[in-house]
Amino acid sequence: MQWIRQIVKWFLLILLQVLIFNNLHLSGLCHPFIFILFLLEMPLLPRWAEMLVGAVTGLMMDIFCNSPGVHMAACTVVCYLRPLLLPRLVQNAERITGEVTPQSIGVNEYLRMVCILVPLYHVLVFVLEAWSLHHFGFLLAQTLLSALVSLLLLVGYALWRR
Amino acid sequence: MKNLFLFIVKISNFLLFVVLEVVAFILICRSHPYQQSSWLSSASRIAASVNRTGTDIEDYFQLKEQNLLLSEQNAELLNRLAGLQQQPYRYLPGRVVDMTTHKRRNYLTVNIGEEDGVRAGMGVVSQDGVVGTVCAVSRHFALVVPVIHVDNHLSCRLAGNRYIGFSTWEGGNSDYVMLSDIGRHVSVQQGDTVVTSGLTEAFPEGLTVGVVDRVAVGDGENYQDIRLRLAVDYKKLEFVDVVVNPMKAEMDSLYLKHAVD
Repeated sequence: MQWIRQIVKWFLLILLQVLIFNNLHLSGLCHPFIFILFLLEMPLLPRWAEMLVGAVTGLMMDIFCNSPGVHMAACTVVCYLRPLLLPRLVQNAERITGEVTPQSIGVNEYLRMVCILVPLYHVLVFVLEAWSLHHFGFLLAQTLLSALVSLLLLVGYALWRR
Repeated sequence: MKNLFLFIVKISNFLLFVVLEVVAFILICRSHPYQQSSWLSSASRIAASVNRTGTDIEDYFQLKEQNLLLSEQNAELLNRLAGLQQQPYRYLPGRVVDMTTHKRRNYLTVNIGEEDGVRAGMGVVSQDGVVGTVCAVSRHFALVVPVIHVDNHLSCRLAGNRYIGFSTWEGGNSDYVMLSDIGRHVSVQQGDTVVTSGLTEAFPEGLTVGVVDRVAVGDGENYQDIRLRLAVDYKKLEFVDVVVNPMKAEMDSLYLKHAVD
């Protein structure tokens, strides 16, 4: 049952991202990536499995965004770091069962995790996509605005669910 | 030996991480608009059909506006028909189902493909002007590199004095491109029209590319800095035509023969 729930969540978040959030053209600057909610919340697995899930999810997003490799690289980093980060934020991290949610690890710890990994993800994606620091101001504005909007959405969702 | 083995097991997670990142970076470095495989892009069947569903849903909310646009376009097309009959080119109507404008490497996907007669290398235009070039085709979809892609340079001509240059785009605002290779002795005024040169077989000569928006000459520079306002507004682009040049095969074989000789 848990597995089916995760698969459904994966598809729903990718569809939400592709059909709605990828089409928000707010001044060409704001491109929030909210689908990584899946990677942030997926149940703890062996680390190699988490990284593979991340790579596949990222590749899927790359297919939709015409940016081969960009999301794959960033998602893999997030999935590599999450198991390293969790024990530093939560005591008894190994006892977490099921999804990593505000209820299961505590609201403060959850928000801290989101505030570290979400901005990191946006920096990685936009820098890799530009593949240069040529238009640095534009890149910076794009990254900051997108990360901020993603954070607002994800934090809002977390608080609303509580 | 045993220690080495244990060490590898210990860092196996990190090794997997490195392997996955290397794969991703190979994909990033390899992605060049003219080598893009159609399955790893939004021209692939699954991605394109998902995007099309999204577009279909959007359609219901825009029917009125669409009708107006279509009728305008119809009139425009009828007007153009007369001119077209003297040209060898044919136009395949298509619709944009997916597009980006904010990246440095933008692409758009249109809903006609190999079965409709689209091939890589064909030009794409809208009623306002030049849109881009087809770089990959699947059965029902085509991937297009627009003028606003850092690796796309379009051969252009100043409509007034016939001087030839090429377009350059380096990211940022999708309304403007630079026109390169125009010497400082050439007189260029703000408001001059820039059209396709006809030197590539993808586009007929004289299609609007844009209008000169700003001209500057640096001290000691041989070329002018010319900024064009593109005729096409990518953010509103929906209906496009793929240009079929029946002479293209003949021209290509000529170039090929020359290259072999």
